[in-house]
Amino acid sequence: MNEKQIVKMILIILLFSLLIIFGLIVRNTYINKIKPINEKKVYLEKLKQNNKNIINKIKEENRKSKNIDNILKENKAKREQLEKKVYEKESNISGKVIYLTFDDGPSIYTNEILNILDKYKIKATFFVVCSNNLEEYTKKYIEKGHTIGLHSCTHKYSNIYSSEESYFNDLNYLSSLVEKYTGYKSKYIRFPGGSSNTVSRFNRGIMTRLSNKLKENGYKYFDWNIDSNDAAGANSNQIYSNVIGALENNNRNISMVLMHDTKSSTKDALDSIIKDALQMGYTFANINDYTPEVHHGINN
Amino acid sequence: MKNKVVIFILSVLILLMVGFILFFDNYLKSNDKLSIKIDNQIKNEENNIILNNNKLNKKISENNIKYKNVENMNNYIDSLNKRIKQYE
Repeated sequence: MNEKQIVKMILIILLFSLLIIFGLIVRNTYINKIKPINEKKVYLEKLKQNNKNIINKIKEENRKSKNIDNILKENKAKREQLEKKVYEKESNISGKVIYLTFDDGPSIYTNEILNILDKYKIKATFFVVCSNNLEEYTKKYIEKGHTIGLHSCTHKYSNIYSSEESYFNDLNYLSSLVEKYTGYKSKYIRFPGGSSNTVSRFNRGIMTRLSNKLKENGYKYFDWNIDSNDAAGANSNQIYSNVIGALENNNRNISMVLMHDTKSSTKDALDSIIKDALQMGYTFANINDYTPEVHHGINN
Repeated sequence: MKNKVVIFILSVLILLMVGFILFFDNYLKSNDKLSIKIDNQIKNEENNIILNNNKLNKKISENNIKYKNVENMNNYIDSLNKRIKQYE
């Protein structure tokens, strides 16, 4: 081989080496840069598909929600129809009637009170507040056919009587809880302290305004005409005497008795009160749409 | 004459290689831009998935509460029917 041929060989070898090096660079570039991009594209498509599936599920849940809303609307209409039928039948009573009303519960004594009412197969009305066991007991009241009334959520005079807005915020919250737990929307109210209370005088005229507004909003409020005085600390004998004594001297057809199921003395007196009132010829009933409203005179 | 041909061929090859290097460099740069774009799209989609999952979970919770309301109302309607039957 002469010099020229050797140079040519070297050049050819150099060229091939360059080509090989070049090939390796292209291959590494593909592995490090181009292949990852393709993998990212595949991942992106999966994400888009995933998102599409979630959006379809949201649409499905929205459709279900509309269906449930329609069912709730139909059930509300059914509920009102049936309530009217029940109230008509339960109002078909004559003679002297006692409405036992229990405020401020439910409490630890409520269960025993319910048992006593069950024993005599009579119905009562419970004006509830936002107690811890509200859900458990409101369901029991409905199951047993008692009436749920709304007393207030907090029973704090300084709060609920500070304005009409405060009163209705408190009331609406309690009402929504009762409806959430039971499906029942109560229209029956008892003012904390009664409509004749003077504790609300820090806000002049509030009781007059509230009693009018309640009526405008389709509510009925009930005071009482017999006070057991259990809230004032009467013991069970005194409670019994207060109630039976008032019933004995009674010319009224409707006796609306104020009691509190938060008092053990009330729970202790209840059996005797019911027994003796039945012997006196009284009938017991719970409040419904046909019950005449018992009102005090408004002092504010 | 032979040398001139060899030099010519080598020159063409070198020019081709330079041209290819320039083209490849440009390709890599646009690839980098594409990679950034895809990364941003992936980030957006992942965020959308989180948002939509939250919306879905919220809707499912709301519907569960509504189902409970329907159940409670059905129980109340049953109790009313029982009371009516008692008077019949």
